[in-house]
Amino acid sequence: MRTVSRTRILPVSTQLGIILSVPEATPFTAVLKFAAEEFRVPPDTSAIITNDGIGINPAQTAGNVFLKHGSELRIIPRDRVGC
Amino acid sequence: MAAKIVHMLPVVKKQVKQHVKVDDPGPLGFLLGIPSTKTGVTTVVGLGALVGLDGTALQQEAEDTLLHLPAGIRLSGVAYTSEKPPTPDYVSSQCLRFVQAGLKDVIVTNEWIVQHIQVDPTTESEGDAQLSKVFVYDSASGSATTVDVREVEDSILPSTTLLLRLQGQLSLEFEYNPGEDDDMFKAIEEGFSNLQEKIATPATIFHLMDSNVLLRQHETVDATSLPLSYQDPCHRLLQFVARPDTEELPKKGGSKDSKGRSSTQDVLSMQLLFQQTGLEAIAMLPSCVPLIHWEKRNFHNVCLPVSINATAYIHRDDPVSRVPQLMVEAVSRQLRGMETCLNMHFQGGQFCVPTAYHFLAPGMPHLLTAVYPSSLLDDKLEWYRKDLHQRFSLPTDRPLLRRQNAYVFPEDQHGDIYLTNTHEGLPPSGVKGDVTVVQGRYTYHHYMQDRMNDSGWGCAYRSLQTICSWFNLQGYTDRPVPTHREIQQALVDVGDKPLKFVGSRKWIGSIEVSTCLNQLLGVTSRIMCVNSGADLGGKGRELALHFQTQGTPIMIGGGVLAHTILGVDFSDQTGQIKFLVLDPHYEGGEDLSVIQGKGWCGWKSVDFWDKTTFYNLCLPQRPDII
Repeated sequence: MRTVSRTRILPVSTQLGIILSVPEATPFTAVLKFAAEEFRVPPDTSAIITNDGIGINPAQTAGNVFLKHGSELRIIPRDRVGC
Repeated sequence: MAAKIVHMLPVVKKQVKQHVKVDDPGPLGFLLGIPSTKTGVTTVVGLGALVGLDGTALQQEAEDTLLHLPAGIRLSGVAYTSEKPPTPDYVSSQCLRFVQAGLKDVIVTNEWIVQHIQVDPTTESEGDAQLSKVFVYDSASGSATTVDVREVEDSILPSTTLLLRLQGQLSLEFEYNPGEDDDMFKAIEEGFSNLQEKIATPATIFHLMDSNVLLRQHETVDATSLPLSYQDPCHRLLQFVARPDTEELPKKGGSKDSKGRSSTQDVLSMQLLFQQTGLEAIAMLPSCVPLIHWEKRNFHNVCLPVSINATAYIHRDDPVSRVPQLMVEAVSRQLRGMETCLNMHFQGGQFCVPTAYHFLAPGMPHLLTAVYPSSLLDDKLEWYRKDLHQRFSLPTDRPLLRRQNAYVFPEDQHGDIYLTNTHEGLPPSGVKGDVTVVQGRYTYHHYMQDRMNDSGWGCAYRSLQTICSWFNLQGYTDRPVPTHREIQQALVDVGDKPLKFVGSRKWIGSIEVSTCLNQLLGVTSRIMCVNSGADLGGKGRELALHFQTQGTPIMIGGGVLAHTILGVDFSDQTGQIKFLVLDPHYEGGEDLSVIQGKGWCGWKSVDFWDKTTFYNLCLPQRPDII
């Protein structure tokens, strides 16, 4: 039996969030990709953080992240800096 | 007879207060003091708190406390709480009980300094309403008299004492037969006992490094050809040490010591030597004809290197003759510490090599020493550190006694490649608000260092390196600062970047910084987002709170530039704010005057940030470990 988790992901700017249901074993990098697609933003210039603003290490399963940080998350644009 | 006085450092009050339990009166711990031979006045420098649950086994606690202190700091007395008011008679009766508990053997002087703190269990608060009085108790006559306590500055210790440092190599050999542990423990005990005896003989010489001075215990004849007598004040020894020509080392710190310390501690480094010729050496040999007994069998012979690394404090005016005395005491304490360590960590035929480390924790006026077994990593020694944190009233939420936290003596600090704490010595920002800055130490990482040309792409990597250096220097990790490649590899390992990212010159930002901190160091970070650089002006309180509670450097990324924020000067009355910014885009050499003078490390107003772009900030959080 596959266990599935539901997560709500909110962007910083608008109020409209999305709700994603993913199998718990899903790598969190995939959750980011799904969420970015839903918001129509490139996944590599987006990041997901918790509601309290804690950064999430993507090298974990979705189930692990929701367990540690809850299922209310935020999607933010990444800064890319170099010069 | 003139009224006796006792000097006390302000830190003692804080330490004592930490251990007062209003509803459980009893002994709190030992008062630690450094006596002055010249003036006869003892300076109380700290409290060695009891960690045992019921205040019994005072003698054992005393010994445990002593083993972690440099020689020269002795157990000068006791502090305790009581519901009764502080009267000489009551104090005498309490002290008699301590005498009966065996404390007379560990408090070497007859004059005990006793602090009586009266507590009222009926009061809810534990404020300064407690009455505290200090007495001198004569353990020979059993009488107690009040004494004048003069509070002196914490900085009095480095300015009135010398720190002696002793290094030397001994070895311990014993037979080990698996299964015969009792015999082995006896052999170890005998071995250490022999070393203790050896140290105390006249053949033991203490050589003052970089000089011609050789000191010996119990010397009455001034045998040295130097213009130095054993009765001279020991600070004269400093003159005999040949100073190396100070090369042009990278300038550290600004012109003023930002902490306002009046003086740094003078250190005398000594070496342990044994005389091999002469009457003293001959006296060590057995005075009989040797008989040879030959027994042929197999056995394990354990040869343990005993590296002596001991310290002691001495008043500058104490006579030179006290130096070798203290050195012997220092070695003796260290040998006892090593014996305890060896016995404690012997497991299944495996012996550890006990190694001594010294620590100067923030807020502690003196060094602490701990002997750690080579066989165990810091993670396995948390229980031991917890005890020490409690015993010496250290905060229990941060690492202070890990091997990484070990004190580096000034003479061991080679010309560092990286500059440390480049913000120290900067003039004020001009805001005249509340200044909160990064706590502890970090090294400045910037473009072109480590023969790595990362100009134009590496700024976030460099900011991350600065942050990693902070976690390394504060003892949270012993992992060295990661290279660009290691950072990139970490991002590939977590699945955030494709394989071809490693070796590329691709930009990263605050999210990648926080991911790497987690992946490489296990550190969690808080991400702060602002829509425009101008909005940072409103983040003063939040940033100030971060520096107060976490004290870690902040990485900020936005509008193609990465920087490190080291502090804020924020006035909540005027709303004015300035940011202490460390710029990783600097491409020059480690020249502090340029770095500070040209603003590569300096105070910036909110206009420094681009109004037209959003910013993300990575605020690393301290892991809760010791």
